[in-house]
Amino acid sequence: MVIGRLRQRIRTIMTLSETSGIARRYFALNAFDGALIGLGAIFGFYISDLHEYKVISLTILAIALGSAISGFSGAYISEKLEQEARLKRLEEAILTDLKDSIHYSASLTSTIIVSLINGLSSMMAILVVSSPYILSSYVSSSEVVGIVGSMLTFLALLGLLGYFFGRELRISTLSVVSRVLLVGVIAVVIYLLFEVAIRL
Amino acid sequence: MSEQQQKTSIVRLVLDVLKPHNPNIIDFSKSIAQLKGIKRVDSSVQEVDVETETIKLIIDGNELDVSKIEEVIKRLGGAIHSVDAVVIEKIETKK
Repeated sequence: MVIGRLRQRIRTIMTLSETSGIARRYFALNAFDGALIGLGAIFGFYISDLHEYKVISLTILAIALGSAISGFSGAYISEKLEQEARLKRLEEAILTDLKDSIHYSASLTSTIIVSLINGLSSMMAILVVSSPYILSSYVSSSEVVGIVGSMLTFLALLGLLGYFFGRELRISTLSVVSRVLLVGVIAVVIYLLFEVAIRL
Repeated sequence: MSEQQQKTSIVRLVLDVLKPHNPNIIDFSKSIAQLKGIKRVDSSVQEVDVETETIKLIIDGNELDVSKIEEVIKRLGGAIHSVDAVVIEKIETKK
């Protein structure tokens, strides 16, 4: 019940500040980015024959953290400016100061929410995609198992993102998922070709 | 011998309000209706613009507090453009 009320409150804030669409787009773009960054980093370790758990996990954590900070700060700056401009337009239309209104407080809260979504989605994707490889290095199993695990996790994450988007936007989930997976497969092929090129 | 006291109270207000599209007219009216003394809120959209809409609010109740109603409308991002009508009742009470 508390979660339900919280969700309703967030939905109200996003509606008032007109940020529902942008939050969804930020989540998709950054999760996609993060997934590719995660897979790229793992491929880098794999091609370099680097399989030391401490090096891999700390490097991935640093990349994920950097991505989160970049995502949060970039979105915060741009979204704050957007909200200020939107409030100014509204104030000019209503001919009244909105500083004491729910629109002003919603604009502040939604800026934080959108920035967190932007930062955390990328971080989450990096960690999720790289976790099979990190786990394989931790248990000292074959790096091939790790890289295949990460590739499959990458494709599964993209499929999930595609499904989420298809459902939210009420368009054919099969179409969205197949499009997203196609991009994912192309990315994996490019990484594999890169590996072949390096090893030659 | 008992004395009679007279008191006036606003029982109906008709307001012309300019508001943003969000919150919608339903949530807007519900928020106003939650105020003490209000029995009924009748809202209708008169005009729609790109960013705003003009609504007519008919508020019925007992001892309507205009300043509180104005405060709620302001908090919801609206502005009262005019008070188009008011109904006041005189109540006589025996002391």
